Amino acid sequence: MTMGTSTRSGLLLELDAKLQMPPGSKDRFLAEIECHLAEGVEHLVEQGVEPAEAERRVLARFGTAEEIATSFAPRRRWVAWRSWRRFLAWAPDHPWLAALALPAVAYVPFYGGFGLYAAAGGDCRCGTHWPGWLVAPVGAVLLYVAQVALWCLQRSLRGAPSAQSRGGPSGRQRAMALIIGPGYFAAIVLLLAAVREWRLAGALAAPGVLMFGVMRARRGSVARSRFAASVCSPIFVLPLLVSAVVASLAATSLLTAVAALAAVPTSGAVSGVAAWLARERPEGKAPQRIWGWMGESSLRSAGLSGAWGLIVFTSPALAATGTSHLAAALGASAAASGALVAAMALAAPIGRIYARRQRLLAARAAG
Amino acid sequence: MIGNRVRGHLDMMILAVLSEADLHGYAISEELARRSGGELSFPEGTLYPALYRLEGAGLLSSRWSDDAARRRRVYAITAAGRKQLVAERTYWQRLVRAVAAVAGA
Repeated sequence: MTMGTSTRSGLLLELDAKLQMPPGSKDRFLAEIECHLAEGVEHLVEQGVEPAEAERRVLARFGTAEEIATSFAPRRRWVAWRSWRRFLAWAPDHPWLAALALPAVAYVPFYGGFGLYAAAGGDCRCGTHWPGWLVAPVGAVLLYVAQVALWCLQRSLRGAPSAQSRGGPSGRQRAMALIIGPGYFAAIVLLLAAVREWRLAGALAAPGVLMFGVMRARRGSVARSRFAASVCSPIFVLPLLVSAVVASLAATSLLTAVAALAAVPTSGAVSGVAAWLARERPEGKAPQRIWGWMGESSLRSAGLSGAWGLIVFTSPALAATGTSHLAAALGASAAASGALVAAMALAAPIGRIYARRQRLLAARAAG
Repeated sequence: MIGNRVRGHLDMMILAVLSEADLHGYAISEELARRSGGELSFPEGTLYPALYRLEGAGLLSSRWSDDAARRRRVYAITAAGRKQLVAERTYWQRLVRAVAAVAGA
């Protein structure tokens, strides 16, 4: 027999930690419970009960988080959904494997594209400045896959605020979102400019900035939650990659075009995940977790910077040793993937520590 | 009050309540309490797993409603849910008759 939680927010936090459900369903479930509890308290207060006593009665009637979590039998869905749910339940206990599995799956089309092109006797000579042709395909995939994968992992660990959370982040978070979002694009464009890939820089910058503005204007989504700051980013993927393909073709670098095209299915899959995650629109005010958000942003930025650095600095070094361009490209990509995996693996224990701290704070608050 | 023993029949009771009106979670629990005259007692929170389960089985559908001051998830019974309710009621009546015959009520 467990003791009931003494506050509504305490119960919601406890449920958040105990429920083993897909994140979208959990958000909806918690929003419904929040609504139920609020309505119950209001009802009793209208009957003349003191608010504190009303809350106590409603919580006693509602049951403990453990009872609810135990009685919840996950819905049976189609295979992919069940597999994804199982993955989310499994990932927190196997952070290293999970961190390895996500990019591995995400990179199949990318490496597949390279492999098929090479196997078909494709021309792997680079028509443009080395390693500029590598930046767009590898970087674009790394950027978006890293963002979504990190977010998914961390969400499964501690339940991030929903996409439509009405709680909204603090002013500081808004400011950071504004800096970090366009900062990515600025970094990409500057990097391309640095390697004198002017056409790619222009092709990437124009639709990127445009889409960013459109998305922000739509409902200030970047400022609303880190969901938007990370998962909504794939909205950019397709126009960016199309631009990359066009620019690459214009630069007569066939290999770049093939690689960029190979990244499109990956981006599609990532966008699909984003759409699935964005489907739920709970009204609950998810607790704002500024430190977690900042930690994630910093980690993501650090991981991506590392990956970019590895691409830029290892490619010429490998090429200088006389390695073929294809081998150098694969080596650089593998190194970048390694950095990504390391960053993601680091994210999981950090998420756990954070979740433990949140539970501790909730327990203290509950008395 | 009757507690845990009714949990196995919660699905049927939810379907029965929703067969007359579309309701949100809190209203369903209130209606269950009203119809049972306060005799049915189970943690209200366990209502939600049941609602999710029924929705997953296609017996209920749900939508967000902004009609009231508070945004609520409103549940409605589907055609499959109505068929299931008929079957559950028939089963329940048979069970009651059989148990009553044995127990001598």
